[in-house]
Amino acid sequence: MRSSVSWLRLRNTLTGLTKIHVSTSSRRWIFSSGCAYQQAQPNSQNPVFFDHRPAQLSVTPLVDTSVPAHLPVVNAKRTTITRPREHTLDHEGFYYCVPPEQSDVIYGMSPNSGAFDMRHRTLQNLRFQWELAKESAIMIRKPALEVMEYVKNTNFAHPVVRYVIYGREGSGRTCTLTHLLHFFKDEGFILLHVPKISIWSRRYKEVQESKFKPGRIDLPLDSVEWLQHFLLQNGEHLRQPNTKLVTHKTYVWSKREETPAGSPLSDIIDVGIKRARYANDCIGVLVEELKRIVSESDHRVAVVMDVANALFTPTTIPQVDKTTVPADRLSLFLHFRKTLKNDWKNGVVVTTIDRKGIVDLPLRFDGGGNQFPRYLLREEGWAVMDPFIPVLVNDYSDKELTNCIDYNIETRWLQHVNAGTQKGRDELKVVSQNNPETLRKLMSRL
Amino acid sequence: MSFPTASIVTSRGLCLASLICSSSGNSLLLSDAFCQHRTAFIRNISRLRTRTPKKVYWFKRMAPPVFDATEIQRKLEETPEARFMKVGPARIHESSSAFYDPLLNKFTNMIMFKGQKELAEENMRLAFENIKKIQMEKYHATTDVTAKMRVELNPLKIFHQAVENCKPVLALTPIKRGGVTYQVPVSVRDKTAEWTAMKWLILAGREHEHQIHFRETIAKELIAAFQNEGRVIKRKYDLHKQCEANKAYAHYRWSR
Amino acid sequence: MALAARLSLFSGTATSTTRQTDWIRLFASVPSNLRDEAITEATEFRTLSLNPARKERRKFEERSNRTPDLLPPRSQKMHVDQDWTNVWPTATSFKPSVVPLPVRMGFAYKGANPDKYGNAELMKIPNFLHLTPAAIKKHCAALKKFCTPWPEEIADDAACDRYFPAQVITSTYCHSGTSIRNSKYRIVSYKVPLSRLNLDSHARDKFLRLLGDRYDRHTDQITIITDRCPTRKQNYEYAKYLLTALFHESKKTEPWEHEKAVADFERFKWEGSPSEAAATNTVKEILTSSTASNEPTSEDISPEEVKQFEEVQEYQRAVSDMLNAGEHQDSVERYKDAVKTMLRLGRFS
Repeated sequence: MRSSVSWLRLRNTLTGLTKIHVSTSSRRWIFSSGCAYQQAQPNSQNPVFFDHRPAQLSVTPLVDTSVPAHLPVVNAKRTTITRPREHTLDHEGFYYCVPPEQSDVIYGMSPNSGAFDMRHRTLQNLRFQWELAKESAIMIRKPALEVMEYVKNTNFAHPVVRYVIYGREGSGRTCTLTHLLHFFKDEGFILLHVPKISIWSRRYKEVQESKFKPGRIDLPLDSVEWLQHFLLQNGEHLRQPNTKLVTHKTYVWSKREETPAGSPLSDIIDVGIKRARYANDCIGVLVEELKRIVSESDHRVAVVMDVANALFTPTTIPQVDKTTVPADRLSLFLHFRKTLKNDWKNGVVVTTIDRKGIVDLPLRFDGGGNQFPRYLLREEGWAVMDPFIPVLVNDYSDKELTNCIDYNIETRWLQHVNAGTQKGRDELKVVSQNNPETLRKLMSRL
Repeated sequence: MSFPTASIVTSRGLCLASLICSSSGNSLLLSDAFCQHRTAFIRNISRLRTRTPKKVYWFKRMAPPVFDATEIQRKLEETPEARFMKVGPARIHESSSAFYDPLLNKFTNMIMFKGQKELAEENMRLAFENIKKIQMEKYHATTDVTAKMRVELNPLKIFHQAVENCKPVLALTPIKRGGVTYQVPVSVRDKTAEWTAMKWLILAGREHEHQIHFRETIAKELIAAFQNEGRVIKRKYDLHKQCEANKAYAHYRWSR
Repeated sequence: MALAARLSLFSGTATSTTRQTDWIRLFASVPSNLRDEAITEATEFRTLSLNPARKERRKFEERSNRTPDLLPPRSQKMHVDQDWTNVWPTATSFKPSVVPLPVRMGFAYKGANPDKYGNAELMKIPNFLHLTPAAIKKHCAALKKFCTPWPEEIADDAACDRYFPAQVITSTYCHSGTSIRNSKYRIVSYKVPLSRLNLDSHARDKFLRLLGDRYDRHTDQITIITDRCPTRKQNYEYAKYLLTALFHESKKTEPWEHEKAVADFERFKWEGSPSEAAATNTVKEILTSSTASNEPTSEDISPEEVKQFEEVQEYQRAVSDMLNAGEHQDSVERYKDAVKTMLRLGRFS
């Protein structure tokens, strides 16, 4: 029993959850960390203590020289500049630490995240790295710098500019997005962040027919989860007194429930979170209102969307006639497609595309390597997104690879005796082919 | 095909035997192909069998494959002709990798089902990752420097030490004497003990509830065994206790 | 030794050693090292050995099997700058001592492959050691006086293709069998470059569809192979007829060809595409919201004028190139540059 408690504590610190959802069954499983961990029901014999805040992360680099290491001491290249705006090409390949108060916001946490976490697996792995190294370090890489440069040069009176981040699998698109997310947060943008679109077409929680427009499909629980995520990321904007983020007309949810015109957007979100039935429509209202408000006010919105091409590919939600729901009948998809159009101002749209986001079969027969935007966005996506700016994420350069290995040795994640030697480094380079994800997998066992 | 070859060999062999007997002055007139390098000729000809081999590759006669680069260099320097020798196919699991570990490879093979080595390797990778995560947490949780130094972070070392700790010294073997089967304590060879330790660890790792993965339980078991705790260590002690109890039968090992 | 003993028997009581050795020399087959032995044994009592012991016989055989001291192979004394054509002037079977190459051939169960000495495998196969470039050069030099000069007008291959675009390929071998006629004799392949037919885009498209796989787009060659007629002449005329018929058929336009929709287009067409509308609208929006006074406002400007902008034109080319030639790194980069210029985002160093 004792070990079970300590294990729970450990799991809690690892995943960084603020609260644990206790279901009616005695045990449930949390996959949020990529592994399943058993969670026991708390009772008087088995008390569970949880912090309400996740483990604190340090800004200063962790160089623990007091404890001797059996590997040769190496120091990864870092920069102390924590504002992404000030990063330049001189810092390419360097690590920087996101301040702890911002790192949680960037990751975004929803207390109900259960069996199907909506976060991208890569984002979860990044979070693991942060927790284990006790610092939230991100490598500064060229594509993120490039997008930041463009955003700095953007005239926000023009229609929104769409960016499509593409690249080989595991090349670091999501990590680039994380860096950009920090940039937008730091610049004071309102974040419209979807950690993984394809979760809604593949690993949805609950399905129901839309009341607003018959024929459409709603995902109430997923919508609630996203609204909580949105609230956590943008609380400061929404909670401001005399905020300009107010509705411009009255929304009637049912005979007795309605949100009058001029009420703050946080009211809409509250309705969605309390009544899961209306959560989908709340997201629709939120998107519409935000687009309208920011086009006229000094607020700025950053739409950050991972696996955006999933918006234009069929879902796996089954129908009665044994077909699946097409993408244009899922109301969440329709709401978020609206953000990708360039009919609004004072905003920026950053998306990634991923082969895995596509459900249909033909991808298996395309030779296996086509990562280009037009191919993955398909006809519908192209019609919505064009003209956009494709941004390529390449695999690690040798400099970046070396720094990554150095960083992992420094944080004592890389433990093998040969890992720091030239032979070990060469082997990691050759076997991973400089691909960050493959390198991560290789290093995870060493 | 075989027959003409054989006949050529005989006729030329005769020819040689007669020619060698002539004076040394005449030998220059002979066909140099056959005479000057007679020994080479006979050596080569003797290798040509009169019967066509059914299998082209005959693994037994091939040089054993070497996967270590320095070892290859040494062999080539010793026997330069090895450059032209046929080498048997390399074993698929051996490599000259900087991270190659024979014991881990053995363990991976033991957890493998139906030849799904990739899956087994992935499981071991995630098990090692879990070990590192657990140990890193311990490492960060301790504040004292000496206590920190005692936290082992290297999963490979933990694995090796865990297997070492689980090795039984004695084992029981059934021996029939006078119509009664006795469980007789015997000493275990090192190789067998190693195998037994790994088998116990794997069995302990597989004893888990639904939806908990092998990679997590095995990680916990390995760490426990590393600290001389856990189910596998208990199993070893149980066996040793049983051996101690059956000490009286020990002489049956060698006497009738 | 046995032989030596017998010899000395015949010689009777030898009085002079010199005489005896002289006599022995007549038998060339007796090795010189045996001679001395014969001499020493001549002084002792010798038994008559009509059937010498097996051991002794073997001893003799071993001695006679000893490798004689011979000259090293010729190839070891060769200079690197020698004239090979003199060493190996004509076709002949492989001689290991002459060829200075470390050739190995054949199969051995154990150890390395057999080397070149005494290698029957090497002697079995034909070699081309007499057909080295140097030898061929010599042949050509010798044949030159029998040749006529090349026409000056056809200076290179390009000129040859220009003056003689069509190519007719036939085979004139005889058959080595009960009938002398080779079945390939009547087959005619007629080749001509498509570009020399001067077709317009519609006719070219139709021509290619009618041709099917008889067109090679890498070399731009049409290849028509005719083999259905019994004689070569008939096949040749049939090939010419086919080409003529295809040419005229491709120039026709049938009424159903006008039913082609956008989805049936082989290539992306910018005009009327959603890409055009999106680009035009975006640029118009940008112009509308621009505060710069030197730029025209949206009231003054029509969509047609927007399309004439250099940025939009470049964007059009980039999109068409990307969608027609297929996406690859270069075309996507070009598209990116075009969009960047169109949206006025500046450059990233």
